[in-house]
Amino acid sequence: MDKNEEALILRAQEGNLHSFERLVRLHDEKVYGVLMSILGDAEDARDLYQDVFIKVYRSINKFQFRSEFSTWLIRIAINAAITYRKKRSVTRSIFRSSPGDEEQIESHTSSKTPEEELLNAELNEQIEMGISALPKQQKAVFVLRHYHGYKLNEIADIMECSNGTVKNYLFRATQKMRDALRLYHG
Amino acid sequence: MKRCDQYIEWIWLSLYDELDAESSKQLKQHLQSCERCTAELAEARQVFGTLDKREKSIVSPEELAQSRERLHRSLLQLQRKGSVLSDAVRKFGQWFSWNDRTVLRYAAAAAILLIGVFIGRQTYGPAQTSQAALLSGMTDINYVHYEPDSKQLIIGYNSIVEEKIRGDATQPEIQRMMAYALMHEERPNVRLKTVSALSALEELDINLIRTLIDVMQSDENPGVRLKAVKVLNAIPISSDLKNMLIDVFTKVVLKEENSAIRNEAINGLSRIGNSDIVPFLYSVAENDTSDYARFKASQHLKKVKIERQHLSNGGSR
Repeated sequence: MDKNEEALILRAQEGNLHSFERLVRLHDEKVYGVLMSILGDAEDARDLYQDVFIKVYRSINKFQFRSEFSTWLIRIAINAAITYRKKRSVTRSIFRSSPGDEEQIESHTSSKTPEEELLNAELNEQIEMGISALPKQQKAVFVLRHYHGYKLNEIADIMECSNGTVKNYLFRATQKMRDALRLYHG
Repeated sequence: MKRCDQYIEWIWLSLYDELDAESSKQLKQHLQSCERCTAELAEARQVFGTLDKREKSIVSPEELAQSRERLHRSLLQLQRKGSVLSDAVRKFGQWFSWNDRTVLRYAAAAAILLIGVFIGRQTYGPAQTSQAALLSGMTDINYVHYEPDSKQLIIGYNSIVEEKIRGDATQPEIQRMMAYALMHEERPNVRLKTVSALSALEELDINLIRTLIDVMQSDENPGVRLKAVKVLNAIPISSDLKNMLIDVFTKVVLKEENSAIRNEAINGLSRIGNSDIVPFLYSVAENDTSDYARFKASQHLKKVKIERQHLSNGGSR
């Protein structure tokens, strides 16, 4: 572990808020991205970002330097995402219904034609639908491996299970994704 | 010799570069003689490529900055509460060491219970506070949630500490807070959530509709403006509202920079279905800078033309 990071963790464990926030800044973009990929909804990810880091703040004294801090952090984020129940009762689709939908708070510029954008949106919707239908553990493994580049042994560390189990989750998830995208592959 | 099922699992692992060297070698040999697994590999590659086309979950720097700011405020509150609580616990402990009598313990427990009930009623009780008192003590709004089962809105806001009120959308104080969130809240995600909560309501009060119109025309965030135009597009249109909406949608089509918002406004105009808007839609179909907006406008014109033809055919029969 990086010495700077270690010092920040120790100071955060003593209750230093500034150090804790510096730690947050080192890792939060990655955490946010993982939450977005698993939840498939920007607003849910925004809500959970707060919950995750407040949980981390409350339990930072439990971190005993037995793993990388980032592994511990992503573990908390994954567990939170797996057990997440929407706080908002407003039922919203996790998909964008059309190009330029509400989730695009930041403006989105594209060189694609409207037809291409529509096709992409449809494909994206199909992928999101496939991911959202995966069982929670499979979803977490699949998203971490396919979209965030974690190796299977890292995922096993994060999820505190064996390599074999993670391989199994990944394989089953890929088979379900293949079925979900069958229309696109004839 | 392994069964193909095992090799199929290896094919997928190899695409993720997670297959060890020995298994990789065996898989290569097997593929040379097995058509089924070769076809599986081709399909797996195709699926893999398709999965890579998923839109990346990119968090914008603004979004990240807002979330950090929100977290900062929550952490400060937690720290304050923590120090107040630890102080109270310390004093409470000292007090018990001086008075170790059971009666006093019960009395203290009852007092804590009463304080808890009082705080609970204050926090979760029905919205009874007057609007003026509510808004004067409020610093900002943290969130707006809608519960479809109870048809109630829950609004979290900060005064000295974080508070929460719950109420139905017809209650004036709830409406005032929604309007406040829409017009004065700095964080776009809170404004967006407020508009989203409005979209779930069955009926919208005219004052909230006017506020939404303002939001659609003037909110600095395109995501919030887009959501506002979508909500306006879904509300039932009374005759009073019709002209007001034609007017504002026309302004949006002419002035709005974001083409997705213009498209929604065009949809809105088309939904209102007034023949007066046809010349305007012709001009959009010819002049709008966005291909998609021109396409939308001409699509609506086509629809109007077909309907007119249908009507004239019916008349000649």
